[in-house]
Amino acid sequence: MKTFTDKPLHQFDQVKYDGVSWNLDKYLDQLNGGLDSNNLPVVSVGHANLVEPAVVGPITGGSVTKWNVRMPSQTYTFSRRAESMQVGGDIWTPLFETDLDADTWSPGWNRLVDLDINFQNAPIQFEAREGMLVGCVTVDWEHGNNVFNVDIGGGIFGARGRGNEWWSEWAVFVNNVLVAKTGAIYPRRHTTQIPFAVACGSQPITIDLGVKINTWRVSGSPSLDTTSTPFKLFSTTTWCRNHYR
Amino acid sequence: MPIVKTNLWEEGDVPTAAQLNAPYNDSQTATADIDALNTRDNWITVHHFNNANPCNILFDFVYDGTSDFQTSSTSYVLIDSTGVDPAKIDLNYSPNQYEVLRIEASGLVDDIEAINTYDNTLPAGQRGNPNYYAFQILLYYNIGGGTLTTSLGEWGYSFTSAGGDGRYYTAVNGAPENTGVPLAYQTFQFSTALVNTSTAGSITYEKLELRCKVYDGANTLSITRNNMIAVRARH
Repeated sequence: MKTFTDKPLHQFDQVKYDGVSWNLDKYLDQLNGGLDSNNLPVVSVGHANLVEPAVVGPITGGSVTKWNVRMPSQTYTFSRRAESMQVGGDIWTPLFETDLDADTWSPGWNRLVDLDINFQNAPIQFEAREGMLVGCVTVDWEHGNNVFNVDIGGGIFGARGRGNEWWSEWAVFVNNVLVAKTGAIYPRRHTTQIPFAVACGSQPITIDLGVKINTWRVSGSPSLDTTSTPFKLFSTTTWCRNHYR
Repeated sequence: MPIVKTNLWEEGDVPTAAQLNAPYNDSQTATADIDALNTRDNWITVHHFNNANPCNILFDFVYDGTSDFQTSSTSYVLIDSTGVDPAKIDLNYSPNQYEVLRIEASGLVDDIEAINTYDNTLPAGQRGNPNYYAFQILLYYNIGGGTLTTSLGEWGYSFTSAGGDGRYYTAVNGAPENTGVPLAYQTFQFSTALVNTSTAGSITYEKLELRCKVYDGANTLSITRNNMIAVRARH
């Protein structure tokens, strides 16, 4: 940054108020970020003046892949846990499976770490700069759906599907505030994409994923040789772009 | 970035020595801590990068017709709805270190044929696997020794709404159906991102492909609309 004195003071000159204000204003304006002056017009600023991207923090391996890349106009953060991206893994095998009849889960929003401790490092955490957070969560999951022999009246038992009223709902939380959710999705295997966009300040940001499961412990005998109503998770991928204002 | 305040002196004002010195003292403190961040409004705009070297470069592939791409392949095949315009994006650039490539894909599954969705001869926990089909985004790249590929991600769906080991679904009034009801006309969608950790100039991204497969070759996956978007984030 170069600055020039517009109104120089000379020996024997009387100090004028506008000279003091003008010179100081101009100097401090550039220091404060106003770079569109004659000696540094911002119209000349372009791609070549920008620094290259840099990774902030480590790129982690293992079961959770995370990175955070800071650029002059934006920051990208990323988190992924996927069986299919691990050595020896495949797209047909779930990361984890929970038996909704037998295992512990909440009827409210379940954080993934509450279902599987291996998700404890999955939430995105980074220092945002004032602007926008624009991102997307992609989750590959399945909610099981069994048929059971139940009393259908008069002491007669018949096979009935118990999945019609079962559903799952996914949501994205930014600093524990729900910013996007899917609505009820009925039992199936599904890859669900949840885009989100929120304004943010220069502050620490945590982006987490939650799932609400609506099911109940079935009564009666299963039609097949299992009583499980499995809830499976195959992968989660979250990216977030922090676009500075 | 620093924010240094000053006073506007007008005729008749009598500043004190401390007031006159304050901006210079504050500048001395602030200039010791200058960084690359300029939060001043409009000091630079997208106009300055709206040329051959933008901060973000968009690539896309769009097929919005109605032709079906059908497959019963149990290994990944490239989606090509028309036979002459496959779902791929030519990148052909060499990223700088730590550049980000963001990819999103979506489309519409239509008239599927689900023959086998359950196999009780498989081990418990895998008996519902025949109900699955999956997509993949594949990156072709070159580090100087010929074209290589790497999977950027795989994502799965089921042909029917049944799930789990007890792979049955009620079609009418709770009556069980062995194969379940096919979930035709449902969308597929997923996104991911890739950071280049190689040094600048040491790797060339060649192209991206959108591919799909089924678990059981008796089933047929049918896809009409399909799209892929890639964003090269440089600065």
